[in-house]
Amino acid sequence: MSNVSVSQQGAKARSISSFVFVGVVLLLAMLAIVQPGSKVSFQLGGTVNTIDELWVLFSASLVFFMQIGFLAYEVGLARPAHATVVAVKNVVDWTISSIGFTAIGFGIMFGSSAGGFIGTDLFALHGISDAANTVSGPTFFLFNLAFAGTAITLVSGSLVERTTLLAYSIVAVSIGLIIYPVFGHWVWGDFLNPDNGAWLAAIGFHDFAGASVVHLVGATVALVGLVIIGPRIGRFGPKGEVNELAPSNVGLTMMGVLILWFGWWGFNGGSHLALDGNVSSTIINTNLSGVAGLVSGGLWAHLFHGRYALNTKLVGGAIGGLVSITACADIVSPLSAVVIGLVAGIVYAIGHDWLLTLKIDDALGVVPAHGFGGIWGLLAVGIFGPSSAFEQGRLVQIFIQLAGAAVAVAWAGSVSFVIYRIIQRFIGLRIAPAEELGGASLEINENMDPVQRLRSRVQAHKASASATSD
Amino acid sequence: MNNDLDIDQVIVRKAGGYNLQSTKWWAQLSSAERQDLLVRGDVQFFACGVEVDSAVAAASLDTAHTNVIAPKDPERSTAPTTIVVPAFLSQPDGATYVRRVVEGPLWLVTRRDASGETQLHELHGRGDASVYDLGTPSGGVDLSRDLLLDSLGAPDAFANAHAEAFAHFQQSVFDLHLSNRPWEVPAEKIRNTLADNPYLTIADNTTV
Repeated sequence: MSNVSVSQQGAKARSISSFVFVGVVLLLAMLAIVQPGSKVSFQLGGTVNTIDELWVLFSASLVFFMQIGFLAYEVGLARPAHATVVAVKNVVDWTISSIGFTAIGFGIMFGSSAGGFIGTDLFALHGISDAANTVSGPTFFLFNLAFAGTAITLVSGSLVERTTLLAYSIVAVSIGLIIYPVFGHWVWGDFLNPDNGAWLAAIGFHDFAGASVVHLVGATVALVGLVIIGPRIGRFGPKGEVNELAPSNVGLTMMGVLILWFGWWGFNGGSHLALDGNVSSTIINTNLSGVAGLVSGGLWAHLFHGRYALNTKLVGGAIGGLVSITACADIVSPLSAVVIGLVAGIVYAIGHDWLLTLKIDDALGVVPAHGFGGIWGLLAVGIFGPSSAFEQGRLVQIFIQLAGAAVAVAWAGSVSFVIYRIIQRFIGLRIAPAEELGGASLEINENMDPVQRLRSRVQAHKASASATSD
Repeated sequence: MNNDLDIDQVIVRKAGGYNLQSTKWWAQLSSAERQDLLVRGDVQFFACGVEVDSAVAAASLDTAHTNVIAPKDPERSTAPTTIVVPAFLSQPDGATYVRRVVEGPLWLVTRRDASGETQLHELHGRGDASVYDLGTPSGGVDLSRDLLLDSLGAPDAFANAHAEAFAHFQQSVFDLHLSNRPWEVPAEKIRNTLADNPYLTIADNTTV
């Protein structure tokens, strides 16, 4: 048992080195943004409409507010000993996405395109000169920054309770710098510059507010991580039986869901980039799909799994419904939105249980809600959208949507696979087993969390007793 | 599961964190690599969420690996291994090991001497008393090792060098699924279990 204390000391040293490393990376990124003698300037386009500007700024705030929802959602579902660290990671990933996306990601996503595949300018906020529709460049940037933060934080929730801060930070940087903006360029790359010829958009792929760009990409990175990093210790029994790990605060999770739901109004409603007559119907569709997802997910759990799974399926079904409608909230009818949400809730429930049979420990149900739900939403574009919206016919559109989903999975999956493998080979992905079982021991929470302090003392006492017996 | 302890997670320390590896990964390492990880304390084994002593787990996985990769040679596996039992470390026939309920699945194991007097001990410290969680594989392994310690004097050497013999002893001397009934192991049973172990031959218990 003396190994435990050695391991804890090593873990502490690694935690400190993780902070130092992340700090250095952030500092370098800041230096890249704020260059001496340079001036950050935005030249507003001539068509900016104040009302639209206000609406999109407000929507950006709503989407940013979703970070608080994700934090509450994740902290509530994490085991008590891990709650503090989960909260810290949520704050850290927003910081990382802010710097990474500002410095490089936005340019890759919306800069002048090289062959429709990658943006080549607008880095570090330099040279944003055009308005998108009737909103200014800065407002458009803020709205998309909030989106990037959402894609990154999905991974945090999925890999909760087992990943080191350093490994997670590297993955988060990779999403903000490469994975999210490159795929985003393929779908939305012509928003600022219509001549960019974003290749997926050019073939007719429709993703209104990010079912693929944000949710499917984030869920794919999470899935690859789940497979490579592996389940939490003790999550599965020798015959594949699932050991339930009690959440710390279901009430907090429910509050998180409502905050996310609220933020989703801005996520989808703001994606019109204008306060026009379509915004309200888009928000209505969003709300209906979320409601329907909750109902079908809850009913599924009630019919097939009993009370225990009810919380999970209710929450996951609602999130699945909200994700699914994200692809098509602008073009479907309210009735279609209900059907899309109902199916999404069931997709979530089946997907959630299927992953468990594969011994994939998705702590927060990110993959079934955002991944499977995202794919369903993309297909729903072709199934429920008006025929007039599809130049090449409905069947071809469904095929295009499927192809777009496959491209998102292939791109995000392959790049993240390489990144995870590199981290695994040279650094290591997981926290120490002692930390995983007893609670991660970042220095910041040893002094703050009385429960964590008590646990640490009990562990130290046990280790001491065992060492004596040895 | 391909090992008798149900080990399902192998966690290995790297430069800045840890990685989860499969039991197959462990089995495919060279013996030198495995020994290196064990000596440095860079590997931990878990069965159903409970840590298993590294040496015992490694022995179990090695056995499982041998069985999977190269089916057991009947002649080789049944060939008796000669071990020496130091007589002065063996308990007198009248001694009995008793376990008592302490809390839930935890048990206090203490020793009853030949006169029948039960020696109760505090829960801390090894001494003659230990707490074992017999609901877990590692608890069973620990109990087996301590029974061997009292009988043979060298449980680590025994368990590490004679994985099959140790596994047989563990399975024979007590039942992991005994529920909460009072339970006693006379020294004779331990002695007989060793004597009946097909993987062992007791050479001479008067020889040190």
